[in-house]
Amino acid sequence: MPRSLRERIAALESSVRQGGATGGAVRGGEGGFPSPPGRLQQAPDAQLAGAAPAPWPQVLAVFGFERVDQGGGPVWCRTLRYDVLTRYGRHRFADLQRCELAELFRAAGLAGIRADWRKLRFFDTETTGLGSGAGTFPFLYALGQMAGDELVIDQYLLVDHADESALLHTLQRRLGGSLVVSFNGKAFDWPMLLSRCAMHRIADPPDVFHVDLLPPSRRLWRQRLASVALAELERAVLGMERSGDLPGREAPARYFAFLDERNPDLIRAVLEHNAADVCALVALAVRIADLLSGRREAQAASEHLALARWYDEWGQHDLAARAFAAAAAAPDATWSANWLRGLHHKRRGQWAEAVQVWREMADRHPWTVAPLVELAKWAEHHERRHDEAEAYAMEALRRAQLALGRVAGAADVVAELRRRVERVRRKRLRQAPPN
Amino acid sequence: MDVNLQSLLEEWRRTESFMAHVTHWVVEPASAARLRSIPGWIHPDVRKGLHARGIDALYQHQTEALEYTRRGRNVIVVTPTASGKTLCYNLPVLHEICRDPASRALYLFPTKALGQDQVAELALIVQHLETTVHTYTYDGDTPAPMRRHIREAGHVVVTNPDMLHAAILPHHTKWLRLFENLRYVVLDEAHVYRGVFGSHVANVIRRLLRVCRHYGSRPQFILCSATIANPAELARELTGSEVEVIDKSGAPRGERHFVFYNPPLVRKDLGVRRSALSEARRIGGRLIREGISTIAFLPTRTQVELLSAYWKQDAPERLRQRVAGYRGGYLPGERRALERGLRNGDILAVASTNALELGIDIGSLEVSLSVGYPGSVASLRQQSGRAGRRHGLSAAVFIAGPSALDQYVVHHADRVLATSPEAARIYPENLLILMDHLKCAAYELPFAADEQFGVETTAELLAYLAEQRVVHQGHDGRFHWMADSLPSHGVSLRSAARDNVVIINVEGVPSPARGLSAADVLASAEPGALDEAERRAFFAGSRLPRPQVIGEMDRFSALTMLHPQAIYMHQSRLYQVEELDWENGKAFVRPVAADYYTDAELAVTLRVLDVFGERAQAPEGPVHRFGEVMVTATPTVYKKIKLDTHENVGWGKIHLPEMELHTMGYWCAWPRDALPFARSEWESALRGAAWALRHAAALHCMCATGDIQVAVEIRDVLSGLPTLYLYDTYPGGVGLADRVYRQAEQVFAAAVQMIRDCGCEAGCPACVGPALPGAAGGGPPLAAPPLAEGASAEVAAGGLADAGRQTPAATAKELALRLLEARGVLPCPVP
Repeated sequence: MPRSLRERIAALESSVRQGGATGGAVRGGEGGFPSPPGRLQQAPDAQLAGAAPAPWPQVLAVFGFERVDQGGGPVWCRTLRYDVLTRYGRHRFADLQRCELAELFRAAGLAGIRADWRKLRFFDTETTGLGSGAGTFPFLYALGQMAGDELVIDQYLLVDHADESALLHTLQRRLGGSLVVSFNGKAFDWPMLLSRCAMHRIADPPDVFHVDLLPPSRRLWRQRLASVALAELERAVLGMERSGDLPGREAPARYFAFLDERNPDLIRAVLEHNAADVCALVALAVRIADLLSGRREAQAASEHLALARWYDEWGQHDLAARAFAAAAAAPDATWSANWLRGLHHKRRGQWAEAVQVWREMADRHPWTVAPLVELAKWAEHHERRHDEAEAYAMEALRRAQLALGRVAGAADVVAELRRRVERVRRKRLRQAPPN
Repeated sequence: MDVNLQSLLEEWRRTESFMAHVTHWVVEPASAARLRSIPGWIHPDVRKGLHARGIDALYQHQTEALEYTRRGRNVIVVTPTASGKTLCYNLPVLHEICRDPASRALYLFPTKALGQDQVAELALIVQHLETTVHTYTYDGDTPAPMRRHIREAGHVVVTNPDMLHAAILPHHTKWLRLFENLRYVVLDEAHVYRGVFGSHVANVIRRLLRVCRHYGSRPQFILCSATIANPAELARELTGSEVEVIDKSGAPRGERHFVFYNPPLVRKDLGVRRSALSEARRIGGRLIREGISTIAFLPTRTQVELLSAYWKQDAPERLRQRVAGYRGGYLPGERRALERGLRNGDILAVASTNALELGIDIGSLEVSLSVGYPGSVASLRQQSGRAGRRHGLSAAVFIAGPSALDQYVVHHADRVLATSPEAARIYPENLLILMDHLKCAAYELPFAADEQFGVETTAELLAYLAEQRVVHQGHDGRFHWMADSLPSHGVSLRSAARDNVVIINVEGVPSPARGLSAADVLASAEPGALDEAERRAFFAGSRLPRPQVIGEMDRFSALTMLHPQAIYMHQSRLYQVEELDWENGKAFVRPVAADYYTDAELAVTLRVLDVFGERAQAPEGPVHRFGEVMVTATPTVYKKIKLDTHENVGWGKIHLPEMELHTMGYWCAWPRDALPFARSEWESALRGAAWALRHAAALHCMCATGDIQVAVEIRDVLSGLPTLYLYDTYPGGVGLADRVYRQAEQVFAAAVQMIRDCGCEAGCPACVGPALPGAAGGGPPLAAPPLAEGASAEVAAGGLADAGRQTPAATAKELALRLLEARGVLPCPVP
């Protein structure tokens, strides 16, 4: 009896899976085939067995999604409004309107851009996978902006691919000429949007400046936190604990199941997660701007240090000096906080301050070599006191020799110090009065 | 240098002991160049570039390629090695880029090294152009910072099908510039794209064209190929459109000698000949001593090492440094150095795997030695083309191995040379391959409801994928990819090889009995690492015993040939299988001095699922059928059979899992009274015919013997008739059984010829396969039941029935021939 094509594929695929490269057939009897990746378990043919699925308008109305046309064609959109006085952790959304956005923009490499809070668009997406290929796409876009006395978040949900073109046109219009704020958007969300536009032959949103909060966050908090993921920053920095949040990697499976079953419970957590991320973006932007502008005192040595390095780069030396000092004075000050502070003074030619830092370091850390080398250089070249230089170099050599065999590269340091000691000794002997 | 070769060839001609083993000696006279002037319409910049390279005229086939492409046609250029094929695509491409610098071209080469070679060659012309032409290779080695630049600015992007499949097409939005402006797609060495690999590549091209359509470009194709019988067909199947064939070379050729050499028989009864390798050692050694540049092609990497070591050992001191081996597994830098050495003559002789078969530029050598049949006539031609390029005398020597195919080739040199280069077949409609690429294509771009991807049933296939919830149909009817995975990730274009069993010689490595298992020794060694170790051992001169890969085998054959305790014969040496690591596809073998070989019983059950075609040549004759089959194979027991007497000297059980294969099959059933055979004669005839048919089919279909398997049923479950099955070993089939079905007469005729040509008397392992003890024409009658109880009763009964009849015992050879030539009642010829 002739078999249908469908039967043939099914038999083929199962026979391959069974005896294929995995060697499944060999082990035998270990149970059925793995379910397709990224898919929630569900009753087979649930759709066929049950009643016809509810129409989309009805399903999406549960969340307040409406079919709107904002100039790009009809799309599903819902709008969430938060009063600006709403607290999000330690911040209020209203803080955005009075914080020093210019500082934040400068830290993002956008010095000189007019940082008008009205033009900010907080941007986040949920995608069908982590890959960047043409078959992975954002199914949920969120755009947050300040409007009057509200933070307004528009969420655009794709439940039918046929809408994607209209959605991209809408986003292109809404994002054009704006200041986009994202978290890791430069590497992920934004290229993804551009890739979708390329695929639909839609021009990129014009005149966009992009502030990605991930790089400055890394600078500020990488030392202190186990991870610089948004959820972690929210908890440890913004003081906001989300409850029942959906891990981002589960979003694709939820979405696919939602498309199949149209059960609102499947997508609810994804929508909430996405909106919460946008709120966190607002609070995080405020926090970084406040730290940079000094409205909020940095807490840890690592924060002070990050600020000091920015000020140093921007040529704001007094601020940098103050931040370095604060970093070194912080109870959790590390060796490197002091070290960077010393180097800062050295660069500025503030020798007295630098020498003081190095001396303190050499006393406080009996194993440290580098500050002694700096002191030796200072004594030799700046003060021309060769006996003193020799003493510093000798002490450095003694310490370096202790590290031999225990620290990689110690041998090079020892050799280098021997040469230094030799040299200053020769200089000292030449300089010494011949008696 | 020609003088040396000339006098050596003359000497061979005079030497009787040499000529006794030469089955054919063909001389191809020199031919002059057919030149044409460079067409006037060629962009002046390109013309200047050619002049600067000293090219003032073109060969005829090069101008033909230009004229066709100018008229918007696709072309395939099928001319010999070194005929200047590269210009056939470089010229149209450069002309187009000079005309419109926005234009882009994509070059696909089957291997990375080839691609890099071509970039170098193209650069030689490009440096003389005023137009800036950026040519880049884009492969796994391309540094990440360069990639972005290449995507934007590369005029000519040189890559391989695997990269196109896995890295470029899935990310096509990043390649906007390329896909919007793609004018030419070049497929060089197109004959390599055959079988499973070719079927994959055809589907990758379908995907490429979909993406191009999306971005509004319609590229033309330029293909180059070694000589094959069906260039137009292959090109059409690969590209999906009509392609003009250019097969008359205008390049000059020097005089060429083709010598077919069959090593002498040492054991006539078993058909055992002196090994091809030792003949290559002797003949090559002589060539080296005479200072004649030589390349030898060997089937395995191990043999490459062996032969180059032999040559070094035999060569006079002054020449030792000028002998080398070349194969995959060497470091790229080392390979480039060897290629350079060959080009400038520093290296006199090289032993190589087929890695050098393809168009890597190594200049022209005087003699090529093909040691053993490389699996296809195209390969053989390709190898012989390595000797003698445009001018001067050259010789190509084929040294036959012991297999039936080798023997067929060495005896039918005329056919091999003159009439029938094989056809390169692909079967892009293999359901598995098609489905894999359909998923990839859906990932890349949504499918319109009525869109076709190669087959008319596309909509049905998409519906299946929708059911599997991998794609989702939007309200516009289009199917969109809907899964959190990258489908190309799980699809390897060269997947035919993935399921092989590697055969590893653990000679000298401590045996399990001494407390360390071979698997332990190799646990950390990947195949590549092993090669490296092997190589170092050779080059450092220290021959520490290390495990060596000596071959590989498809899983199906491995069930019966590499089970634990099996005797495995390799290059006239006997090995015993110590351990079979089935899961990881490794068989550990050790040389033994045994006086027996093993023959395993495979309980193969073939279930016919669907019959697609049926025909008979004559009433009461054999009936040929073709359809879908499910093969279940379980090895049961093996017999130990004495080498000389074929006595059964023991047996053992095999504990290996059952294998299932869903594929396409061809089968032939004979009416029981078509031939007056007893049961045991039927068995012998069927087995012998099956063995020969398998090899004939491989030759006919231009595939490896491992791609086809056979099974016989003396009493088929379905019809009760003696039946011979032949099926594709690739799941879903790649059109081999289909072809055998349609051209059964030719395949049968070739099988008959193979058996007749064999030098043996009564049928030997080469022509009708291993002898079957207990069956007619096998060894002498056995006193004791040979096998496990269940089987023995049947065989014994068959034996009794035989004894009752007065027919003289026919040989296995005769039986197989009679079966293959059975025609049934042919219509009476009208006088």
